[in-house]
Amino acid sequence: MKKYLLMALLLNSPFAQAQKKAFDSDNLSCFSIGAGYKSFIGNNFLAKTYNNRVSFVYDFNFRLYKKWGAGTFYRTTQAKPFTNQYVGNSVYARITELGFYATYYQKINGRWLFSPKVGFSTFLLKNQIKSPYQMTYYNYFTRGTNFFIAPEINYFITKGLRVFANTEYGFINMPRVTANKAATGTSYNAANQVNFCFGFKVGF
Amino acid sequence: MNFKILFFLFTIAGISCGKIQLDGMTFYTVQGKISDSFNQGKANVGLDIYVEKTFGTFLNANSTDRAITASSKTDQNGNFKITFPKSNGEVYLLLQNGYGVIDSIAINSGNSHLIKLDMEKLNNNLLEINTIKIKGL
Repeated sequence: MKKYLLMALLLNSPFAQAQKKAFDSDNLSCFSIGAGYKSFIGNNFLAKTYNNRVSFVYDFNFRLYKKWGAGTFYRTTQAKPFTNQYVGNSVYARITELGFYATYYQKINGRWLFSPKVGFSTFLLKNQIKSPYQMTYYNYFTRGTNFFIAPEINYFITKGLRVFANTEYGFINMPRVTANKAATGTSYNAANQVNFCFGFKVGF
Repeated sequence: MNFKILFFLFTIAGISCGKIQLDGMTFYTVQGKISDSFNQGKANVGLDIYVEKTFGTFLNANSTDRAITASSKTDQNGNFKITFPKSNGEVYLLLQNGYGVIDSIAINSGNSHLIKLDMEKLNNNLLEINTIKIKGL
């Protein structure tokens, strides 16, 4: 009897009600924080210079119309060059991306949400050289644009909180970078990247 | 008070504007060969790309900013290839390990381990230089 009473109390508690309502909600606009890692692939100076490195991403996503939404994100990645063959004696590198995307929301079984994204971002690579003479640091910047697709899966923990994971495949275009491809043996104008990311989203 | 602030700002501006600046949108490659006095390729000779820029500040008319932007070493046949970012300073090839040039290549004011690179001879971001004969100093 006590067991049934306890179950009845739990099922009628505010927490349980919130859980029940959460998965019917269209409350899809959210702010998210995630972490992941970035990997460059292909015959290009990025893949040949930088290790896979940890990224942090901050994202605002807005539902615009029915199952369609848009968003913006800021992602920063710290990278350490493992060779000085292609970019000089860089001792530290940081990649900063500011992006925009369109997304589609497809709910699956109530708690799950599939949300593929397509968009673009700026690609800013900062390298840093340390002078042995004055202990001064010199920065230099390589710029490009990243076009990406990113399938993403979300799981609603509560109405306002969900976890997510995504894989992003990006095409980095750097048409203004110049180098001698024959002499260096690699491309400085195009590269591919894969970003794996997971984190939390808070709805609003 | 205002004069002190202006003095400080001019000094900072002078120092920051005259320093070496690197361009991550342009990468140059220099390649060539290092040999001994018998024209035999010299292996494992350390090389640096040394950049120097002289500038004036409010306090000091001739300050020099120096940086090493890339490093490499010769292969078994004495050949080398170094890629480095473009800069606004004079670019030199710096011989490591106490080696010095023994032929007629232009060197920097008596420093035989510093070989000035003529960046105006760049062809499609590549500078190919003649064989450099060196000896231990």
